[in-house]
Amino acid sequence: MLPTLAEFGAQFPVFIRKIDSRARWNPEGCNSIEERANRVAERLFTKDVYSIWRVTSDLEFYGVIASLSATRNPRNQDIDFIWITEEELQEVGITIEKKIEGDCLYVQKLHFNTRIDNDTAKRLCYNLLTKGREANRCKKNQTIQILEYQEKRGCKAVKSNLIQCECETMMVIN
Amino acid sequence: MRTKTLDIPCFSDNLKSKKVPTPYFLDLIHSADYKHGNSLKTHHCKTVALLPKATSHKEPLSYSLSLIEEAKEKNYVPKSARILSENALDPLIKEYFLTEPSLRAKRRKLTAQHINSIELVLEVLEWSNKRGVQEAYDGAIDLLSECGQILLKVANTNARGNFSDDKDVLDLEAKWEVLIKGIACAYKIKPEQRFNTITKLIPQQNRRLVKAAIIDALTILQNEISQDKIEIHLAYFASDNESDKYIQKYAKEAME
Repeated sequence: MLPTLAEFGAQFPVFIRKIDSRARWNPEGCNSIEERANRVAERLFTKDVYSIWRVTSDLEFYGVIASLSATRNPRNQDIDFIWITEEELQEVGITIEKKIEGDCLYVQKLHFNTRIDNDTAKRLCYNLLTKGREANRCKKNQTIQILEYQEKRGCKAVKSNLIQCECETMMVIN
Repeated sequence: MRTKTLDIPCFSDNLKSKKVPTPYFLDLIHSADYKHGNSLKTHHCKTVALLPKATSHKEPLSYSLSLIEEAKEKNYVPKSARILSENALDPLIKEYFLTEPSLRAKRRKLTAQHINSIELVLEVLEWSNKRGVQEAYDGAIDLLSECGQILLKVANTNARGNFSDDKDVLDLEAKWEVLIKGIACAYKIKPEQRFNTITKLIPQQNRRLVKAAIIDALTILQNEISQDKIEIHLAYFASDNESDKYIQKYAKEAME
């Protein structure tokens, strides 16, 4: 069975942010949510620009997983991520900028870049942790299932070839 | 070529009790004591860096390659006393990490071919944790996945040390996380060798991040190593032998 985002507690529409590792969302030795939020922000928000994907269906989620796996070696690995709602981004003043990225033609237009400074990251993490939000994992076997499914659909993120993928066919019809 | 000399207070008792600024992790490996296989108890070591001028990220790959060629012609060999700092980075590795993440895959093989020393692997680990670099963590693991036996040499060094709750030790454990996953993904190394190297690390680790990385590494090796062998180690983490409840649960999930 292919996984669904509902299994991870998310409701559409939602933003997906891949994180380095799930363990970094759970640092050891924290005595308060604030301390944990600070540690998580220090560990997972170390850049200036972050990639996020806005998904509104499981099909789009599969495209995101395929895109994230496309450059990995091996491709069929666990993928750790957090989901964030648009309201949660707005609460801490995070703005997003559309930037086409990834090989899956279906979801490359759902990719956004966002700038998050360290203080904002701490506030975001604090808000999410207060709500009990945990990091999620698309497990290796789930990734394999998604990649197989995407390959059948001709997804360019899984297999680069000249044959039209289902999305291209739909685009032509539309 | 620029020459840089630094006088560095070194570790006593490995990395256990002192604050360890980031470059020390790298310098530690390069100390004369390490080279002679001794424990790292020197209090001061003078190190000299001979490094090519760092390139700008706007400079093309061909420029980086020409730098390497130039270095080869001048008989430049990375010295054991090499120091990594903001101003002293290997041009090809730097180029890789400053490339947009979606375009890194094209440079990965070429860059990995160049990584043939402990120093260069450590430089990749340094980049994996560098602030401001997009997807540095994944970029580093993907790059290490194309490397060979040199990764095992790094893992087998004395640099492991013991971990403590020190901020800079957090930096060290983060690098170990990347190295362990990089080894698991390094398809050019025989699966048995990868597995043995990773599992040898188990008794020496007491940090959550590193233990989780080992569990993840074992998951990556599934299908390459017999399931029984992998489950022995996962079962250890999942048992009451493991004091960290988070890791116990983490291992149980990995076994599902």
